[in-house]
Amino acid sequence: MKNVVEYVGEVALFIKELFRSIPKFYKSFGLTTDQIILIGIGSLPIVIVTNFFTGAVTAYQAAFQGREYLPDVYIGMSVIKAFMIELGPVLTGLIVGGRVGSAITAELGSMRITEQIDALETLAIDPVRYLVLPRVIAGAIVLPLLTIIAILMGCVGGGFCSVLLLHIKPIIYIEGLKLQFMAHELWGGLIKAFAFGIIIALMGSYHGFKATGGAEGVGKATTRAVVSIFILIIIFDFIIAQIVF
Amino acid sequence: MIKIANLKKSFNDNHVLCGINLEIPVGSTTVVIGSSGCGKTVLLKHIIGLMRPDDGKVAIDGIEISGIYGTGLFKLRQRMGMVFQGSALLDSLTVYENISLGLREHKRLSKSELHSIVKEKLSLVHLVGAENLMPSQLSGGMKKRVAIARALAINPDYILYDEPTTALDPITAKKIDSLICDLQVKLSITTIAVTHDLVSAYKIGNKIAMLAEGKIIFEGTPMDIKKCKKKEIQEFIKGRIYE
Ligand SMILES: Nc1ncnc2c1ncn2[C@@H]1O[C@H](COP(=O)(O)OP(=O)(O)OP(=O)(O)O)[C@@H](O)[C@H]1O
Ligand SMILES: [Mg+2]
Repeated sequence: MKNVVEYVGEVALFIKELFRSIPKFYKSFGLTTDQIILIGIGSLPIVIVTNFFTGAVTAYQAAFQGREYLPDVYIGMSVIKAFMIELGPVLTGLIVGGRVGSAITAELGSMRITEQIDALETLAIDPVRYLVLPRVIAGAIVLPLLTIIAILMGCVGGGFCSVLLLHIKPIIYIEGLKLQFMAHELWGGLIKAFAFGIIIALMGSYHGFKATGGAEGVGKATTRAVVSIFILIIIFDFIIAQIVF
Repeated sequence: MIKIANLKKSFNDNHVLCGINLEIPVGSTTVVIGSSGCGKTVLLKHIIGLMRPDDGKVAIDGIEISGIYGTGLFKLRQRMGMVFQGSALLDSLTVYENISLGLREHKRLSKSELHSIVKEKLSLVHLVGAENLMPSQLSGGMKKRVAIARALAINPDYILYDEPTTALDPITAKKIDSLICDLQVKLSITTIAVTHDLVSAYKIGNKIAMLAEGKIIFEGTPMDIKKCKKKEIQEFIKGRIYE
């Protein structure tokens, strides 16, 4: 229990330092655009593939559950609803969390143990501003964008499945999408994605900064980072859903 | 002048520094020697404010670095440069970007001004032409030189070397030693080096201090230490010679 309290306290201090570095953000502008490109473009293929097939599965399941007593328009409705409020942001969060969160910890962790972070400090450069802030801001920007793509791909995947496998008229599937499209649900999903982006970059960076004890320590830090990111994404998914919907 | 008074630092039950008192005079080279793991790096990290003492203080020209944070600390650090044991070059940046990093952050300089400063520092460490290489393409000795150039880029008043010659072959080590001496004379920069390499310590040091069991057990010139009769010191010196 004491460890949990200590952990939360240390993360809180880390966040405080992050806030303190915000006024000097203008100095990290270029680094942030680099990170946006790195995180965003790099994650695009896996986000597209995963959400396409999950969309297909969702459509198939919806059709299966509702066969005989629900109209076909229900398929499109359930796909878009599921993707806007849950699947889009959460799947994207988990995928990018695994991919990018671990990469951030590994990179910053090896910088920590090879004293590169200390070197930044001796050059009078705040390592939090130089390394963490760009990643957190990039995460907060990129995750909502990827989530929009995820929602689109889910709907496309669901459409393919509906038309090709379930032999539903495209117009009916699209009618279903339109019926359930609600702007406030889309916003809710994007707020989740925004929070997940911050969680991924923040926890990835935190564990990298705290890495100790050589390559093995970096490996352990990476595992810890991914576990904490996944748990926090699931918890915040619930909390934000309570607040927004 | 750097003044270290009663500096103490422990990691859990590991008492690394147990009351260090040391003065580092301006415009010369002070070398702290001591065996592996005796706390040399820890001492250096206290001087540049990367670690905080449990007790005692470190003052740089009267400003207590162990007691300041934020902007004040960064201001003070702009007058100091440190060369790390493993060079600690940022491996995502080229040699040019590594050397110019501090300048780009703190000074508004044009591209050509930056270029000429980097060139000047590279020529000081005899590495002209290496601007566009990545750290992974450099040998250990070259990395050390780039790290030295990076530390010198902001024209610091103090430069700190952590084991500048260990992990280098004897010839390269000698070259780095000469480089440290040259730079000290040319720039009349106050130099602090920690090492367990006695050959290097004799060569570069105007003053030598020996660290053992968390205390400074000897202070004097290279001549003094050779003559000193203290048992621990003789062991350290001879252990090195007859090894
Ligand atoms: N951040 C830290 N946390 C815990 N213990 C540390 C830390 N840094 C150093 N120590 C301990 O302090 C002692 C001195 O370490 P230090 O790195 O200063 O040795 P050193 O004299 O530089 O040795 P070497 O010549 O091998 O570089 C060691 O016992 C080490 O385990
Ligand atoms: Mg050391």
